[in-house]
Amino acid sequence: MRQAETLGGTTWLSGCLDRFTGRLDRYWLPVAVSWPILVFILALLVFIFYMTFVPGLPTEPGLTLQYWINVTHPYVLKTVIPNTLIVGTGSVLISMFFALPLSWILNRTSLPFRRTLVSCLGVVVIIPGFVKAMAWLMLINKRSGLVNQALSGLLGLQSVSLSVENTLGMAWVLGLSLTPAMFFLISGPMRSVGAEMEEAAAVVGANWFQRLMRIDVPLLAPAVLGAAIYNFMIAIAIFEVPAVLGGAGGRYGVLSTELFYAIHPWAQQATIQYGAAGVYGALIIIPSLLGLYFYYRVLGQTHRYRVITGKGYRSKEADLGGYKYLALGFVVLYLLLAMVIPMLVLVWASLLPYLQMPSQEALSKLSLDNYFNFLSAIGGLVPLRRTAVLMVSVSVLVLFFSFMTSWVVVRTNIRGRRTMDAIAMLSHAVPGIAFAFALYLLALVLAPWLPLFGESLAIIVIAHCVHLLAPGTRITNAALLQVSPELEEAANVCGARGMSAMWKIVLPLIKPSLLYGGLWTALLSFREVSMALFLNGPNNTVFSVAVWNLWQQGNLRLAAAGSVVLVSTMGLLTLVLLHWTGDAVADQDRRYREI
Amino acid sequence: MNRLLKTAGWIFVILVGLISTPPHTHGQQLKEMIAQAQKEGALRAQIISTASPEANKIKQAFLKRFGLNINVDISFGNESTEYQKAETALKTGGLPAFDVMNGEDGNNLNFINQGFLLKIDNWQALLAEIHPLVRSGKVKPAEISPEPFTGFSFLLGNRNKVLLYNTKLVSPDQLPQAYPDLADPKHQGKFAVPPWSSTWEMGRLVYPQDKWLQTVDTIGKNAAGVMTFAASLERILLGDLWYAQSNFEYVWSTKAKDPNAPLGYKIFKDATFMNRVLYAVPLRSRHPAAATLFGLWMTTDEGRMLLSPAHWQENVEVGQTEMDMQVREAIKASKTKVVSWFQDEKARAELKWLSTPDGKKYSEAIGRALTQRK
Repeated sequence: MRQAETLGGTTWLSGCLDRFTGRLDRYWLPVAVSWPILVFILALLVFIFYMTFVPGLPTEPGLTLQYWINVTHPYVLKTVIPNTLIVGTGSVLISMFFALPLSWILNRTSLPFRRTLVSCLGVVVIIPGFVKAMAWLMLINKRSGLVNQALSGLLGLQSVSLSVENTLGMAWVLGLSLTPAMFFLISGPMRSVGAEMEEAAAVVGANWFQRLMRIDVPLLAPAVLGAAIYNFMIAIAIFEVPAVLGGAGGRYGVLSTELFYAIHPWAQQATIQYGAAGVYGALIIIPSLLGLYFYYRVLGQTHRYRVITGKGYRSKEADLGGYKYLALGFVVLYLLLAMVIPMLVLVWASLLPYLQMPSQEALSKLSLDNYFNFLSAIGGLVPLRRTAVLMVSVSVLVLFFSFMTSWVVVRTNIRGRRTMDAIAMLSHAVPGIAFAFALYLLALVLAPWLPLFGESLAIIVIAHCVHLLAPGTRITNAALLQVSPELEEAANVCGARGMSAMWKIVLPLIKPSLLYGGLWTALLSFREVSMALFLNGPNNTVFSVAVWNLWQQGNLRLAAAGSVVLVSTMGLLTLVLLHWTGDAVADQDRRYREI
Repeated sequence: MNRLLKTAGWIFVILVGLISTPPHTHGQQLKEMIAQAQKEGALRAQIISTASPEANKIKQAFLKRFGLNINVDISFGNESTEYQKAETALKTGGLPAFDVMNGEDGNNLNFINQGFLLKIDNWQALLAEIHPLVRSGKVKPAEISPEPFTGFSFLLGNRNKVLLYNTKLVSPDQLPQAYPDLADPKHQGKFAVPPWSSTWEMGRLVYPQDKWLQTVDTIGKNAAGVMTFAASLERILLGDLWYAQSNFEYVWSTKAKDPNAPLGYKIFKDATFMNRVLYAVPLRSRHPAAATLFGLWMTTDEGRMLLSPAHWQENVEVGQTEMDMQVREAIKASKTKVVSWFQDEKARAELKWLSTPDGKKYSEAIGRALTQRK
């Protein structure tokens, strides 16, 4: 009896140890990798909040509530916050209007040239936001807009009072710009919706609309909700579009522009208001937290949305028949509005000595001078090399950290995993520029030991990684959610040890999502300007900042020329990469159909 | 007799001593500065961002002028941001990003008051070697580095505020003649204002303080938008705006790109607000010798004109280029009052008042009124 008890006790203890070491054996890497970066993000967040109570620099003594009291100023309550909500909500609605149909058309139908069209969506991302804003400003404004002039001529009116220089205009341009983000975020889940459920519904008599509303929509709800929250957060944190369309004035001020100008005051002898910037950042975080709450409510029902299981699954394309021209027209319309028209305006501006409306006189002034002068204007090839290094580093690091974090969140039952996910998402809820100034101050504190850190490309890489961890984890979360644990359990039963199941089974299954994610983060890093602008120094100027500087100092023609060259190059690379990943996805689909 | 001989002997020795001691040459100081710069091996210089296309040309000319073989990085950024970053770095014990910076009088004075600029030793002698107009005696060193910047900051040029307008949309007689005219409802929606309040604060030197604040508020309400000078220039050329307050230099840079551009300028009758733009070496500059050479050299007509054709920097105080003469003549012919913070002691006292708590409040009020952040 005693021996049995002893044996039983030993058995119980060894069982616990086995479970712990077994878990550790499987999860040590994700845990070891994900926790430090999340703690770092949390530390930066805490620092930002701390700065809202500091009157000046963090090294100076004293605390104050003045910045929080200033929030009750009528300008903030009656202008800035309402404007921000209009811009955020409007841009989400516009991007959903385009992205949902686009995602279905380009992922689930037999529309021809799908891959090329998807590649074009990637190119939309490359065009910097402020360039699109300038293009729309030329097209639609009360006094000289091309569309306004055409309409007034057609209708026989003296003028047409349409304008994009307001919050609705900002929402329009942002909505167009953020449509690819939503498209890429829901494309993976959209492609993965199994055909069996739709076939079963068809058998019992459901038409395509009923199948769409009762099967596809509920299955895609978490992805769509997550994408909507993501877009809202980006929209209210983007600075450059409201800065162009709203100007530097207060009439159409939003939280992001007020935050930027708190850090970049125009007046001489002004001091940077870090506290005010922190408060504006905090005001952007609050709706994010609300959005997160609703997101987690949906996430709690994830088991209902699992479609890739140990049993075979396959996706099926819908035959559009005669509707394919309508579908194609919709896709082309979006691309015209979001890409073609801005690019045409870019090209036009790049060929002129100064921006002017199309006319006979303007045509006589066309030349390629700006293309020859652009490189020297930005300091040669150095900013381009830096940008390439930035994109690759950020993409690899973000995917790595995102995957590790998502593995812990989705695949383990480790205590605190939901907190980890919330922290990862918080990094997106905080405007990037707030992280940038926190990192900037951190660099100042570290200057005695790391004097070059504040001026290096590394600080921008860190800023981008911290900021892009949220979209990265949304992609990897969504990808892992759709892979049932049954596959790993089967692998473990067959003797797979440690993280073999992760590398050999799960990763290949979610490779398309990872490739999309990698491309997406690289493009986001490429076009990001607010953080890079704030952290800009003589040794780390990247392309986006170089173009922004040219634009802001009136060298629009040089900025346009540079943008045309870079967008064309990046567009070509994107086309090649998306075609390649498209082939990989097609192969994968074929393999699963054969199972 | 002996005493006489002794005295003559001493006089002779003294005379020989005076003759044989080589005089302290200005050239020697410049040579030493150049040698020091060569030893430093590098330089990070800031130029105005609109001149960015000329960066490489300026770099080559600088190296050639002083026979240097060092690593020169000429960079650019928003002036206010760079000064604020430098101030933050210097306050926290860090290093400024640039070895030599250019900025307006207000930024320079702020740095001098906080002890954030290096005073250049023997700057008069160096200027005499580097600056042809100083060497020839046409210009005094004190004109290149006037009070209160003496020895710290050196005059690159001026920014004179004028009204730029689209000549196809509006004729000169339809333009506002004085600043308060911008508050007239007939000009509503036709012009833009800048986001910076620095020159608008100078209105206190012309009009009563409270009346001026009210005028600026009405102007802010009347404006079509708030945008930088560069942005408003683009909009004027596009025909989207009729006119805007701007710097005189934009006339030159626009006409250099296209002589037929529909751009004209009008000098305000009541006041032409003028700022100085100066070069200075910040404290803890990593390469102070090279920075000094660069800053002093940029104050010459030769250095300054290398900023063109991308950027035309006038110097109406001591410049001798054709542009300087034309701008000077235009301002004189308009019979406008040139207003600057350094025109007299009263103006300097007003500038000093702006850094007091009450002055900062007034400055913020002007900024809010102009940009309508109320």
